[in-house]
Amino acid sequence: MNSNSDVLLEVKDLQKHFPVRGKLPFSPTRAWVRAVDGISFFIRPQETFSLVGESGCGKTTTAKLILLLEEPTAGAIYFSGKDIGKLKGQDMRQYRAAVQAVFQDPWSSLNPRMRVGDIIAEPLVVNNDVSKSKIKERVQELLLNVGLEPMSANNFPHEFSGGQRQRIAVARALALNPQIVVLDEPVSALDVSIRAQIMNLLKDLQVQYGLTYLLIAHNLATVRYLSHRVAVMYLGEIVEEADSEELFTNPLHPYTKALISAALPIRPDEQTEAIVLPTEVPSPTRPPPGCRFHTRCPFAFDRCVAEAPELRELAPGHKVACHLY
Amino acid sequence: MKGELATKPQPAKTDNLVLQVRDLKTYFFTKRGVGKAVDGVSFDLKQGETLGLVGESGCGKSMTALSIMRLNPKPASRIVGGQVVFQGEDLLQKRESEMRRYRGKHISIVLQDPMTTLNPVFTIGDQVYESLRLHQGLRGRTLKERAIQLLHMLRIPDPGARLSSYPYQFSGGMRQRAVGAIALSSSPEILIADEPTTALDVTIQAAYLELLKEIQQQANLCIIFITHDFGVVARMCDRVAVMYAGKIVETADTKTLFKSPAHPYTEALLNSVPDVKERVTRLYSIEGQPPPIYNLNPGCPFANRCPYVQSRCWEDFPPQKELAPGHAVSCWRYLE
Repeated sequence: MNSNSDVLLEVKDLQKHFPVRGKLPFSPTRAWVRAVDGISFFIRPQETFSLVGESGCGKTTTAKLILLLEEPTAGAIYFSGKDIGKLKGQDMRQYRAAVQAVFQDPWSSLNPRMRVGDIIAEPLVVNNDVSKSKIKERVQELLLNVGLEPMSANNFPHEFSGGQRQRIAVARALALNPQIVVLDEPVSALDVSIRAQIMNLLKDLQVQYGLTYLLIAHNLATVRYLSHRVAVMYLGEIVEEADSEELFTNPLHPYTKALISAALPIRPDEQTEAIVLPTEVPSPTRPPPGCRFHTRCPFAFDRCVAEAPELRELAPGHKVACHLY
Repeated sequence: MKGELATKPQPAKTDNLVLQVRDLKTYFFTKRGVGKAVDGVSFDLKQGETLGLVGESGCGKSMTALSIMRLNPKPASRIVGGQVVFQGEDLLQKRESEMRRYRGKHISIVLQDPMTTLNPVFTIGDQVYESLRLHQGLRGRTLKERAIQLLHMLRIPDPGARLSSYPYQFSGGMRQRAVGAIALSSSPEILIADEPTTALDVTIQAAYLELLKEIQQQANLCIIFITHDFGVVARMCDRVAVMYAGKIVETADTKTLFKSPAHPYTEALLNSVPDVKERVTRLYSIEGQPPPIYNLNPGCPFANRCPYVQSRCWEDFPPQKELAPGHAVSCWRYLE
């Protein structure tokens, strides 16, 4: 694991609230969906940092904020020490090139009417002023690096299988030599026997190019395999953050425990009694007062209803937001 | 718990087999050629057991399930051979009108995405009533009472009021439980669950699986559980059949399959799945991808990805060989 303690990307008190409006145009805002509600974390160079949680916990919104696809309601994101909300002109272009993404579904993230070579070349054409022959060379090199035939540059996405398409998406993300790649559920749309191929490819490329990954996933086994550090999100907040091994061997927050116990191990003798949470996730428009997890928590007591716990560091690098500790 | 399933007089059976599928073949006839989606699938289902059908997308696991109920897409596909014996009768010989008395009454199915299974313009109540009216002939107050009982059994809070809700007002987990209520409304002997938890979140999935197990024990239900998730198999199934390119390549009880997988595909698949309980530094990955089901070669369909491939693997599909009671595999390695 990386011992470099420099920070490449830092997120501070980030918030994103979406308005809920009535059905008529110009109708007033009725409520706010607190998709991301004051989260802070940092990512070190060349590590894989994961955000885990169930649907609606705000992990994808966080990724979109980092990719500048959404504007934060409050808070800031710092890249190499610079506030990205204040970037302009050339600096902004550089940031956009340095942060790339691979999305979940390679059936919808690749334009079906473009040839694979053009898909991979597009970021190069848009961002750099390089000659056609250079671009062609670079595309061939990228295709080789993700394990595809250089010849396939002339084919269309529909001629490829899911795993191969995801490789194309990875090649496109790498075209501009990014520093950070945001992986939003990179394998969950793929078949079981193909997932290992892509996960291994991502691991190899990380070493080869010195990449930093922000991994968004709900499958804990995938997260454990790929990441160095993990943050668990619940209803727009981070409830626990730790080194990957620490989190999986010594989870502290009741929600993390429930998540890990609900993730089914693949050996029948390892089957433990799942901690079954009694109710479902409350609506993020009206998150419960106090600790947001108290409505489902098996250990909740009076203080949890009254007071929101703060994210505190219990051991070096292991933070948890829970009144039990 | 209240609202148990109505006990049905059990038909006298010579053995405890509920369903026998023999050499089932469902082919697609298209311009590209003949697609052998299900190609000679055989298995037995015993009273009260859960059988897992495992495989990747396109391996024919869902087509097998649909073919058992004769709901395979028509006219694109046809069941060209085999038998599906339920209560001593071959369902494949039934007339379409007779089949309707089996579907939903004796054999029910729960599909992956509850939002597409439920009709968005009818209330949950209407959709539960439909099956109860049709198969049980219930009317009026008894109909409503039974519907409430069912929703209660599937742990839908405040079932009386929820009857008049629409699917969009339910969360994902509640929708899937409402679908479960409809599927179980006529106390079927067999429930086919086709990836019922794939669209659900992990904690919701855990709760749903627990509930399904509980109901199974009460109702002595057989479940055919279709999934690609080995974690779900480990938790839910008594026996497993692994499918690849339209064929069952290995059958075993769950413990044996995980401990000593015999078929190279099963072995590779198990090694390529990361586990939450273990730290793995490098996953095994199966190179290549499953073959298209059109114009398959006569040999073993896994041959092009198999690390143990021999020359005869390209020529013939290996016959099934029983390694131990209940553990059968189709691979030339065991036929020397």
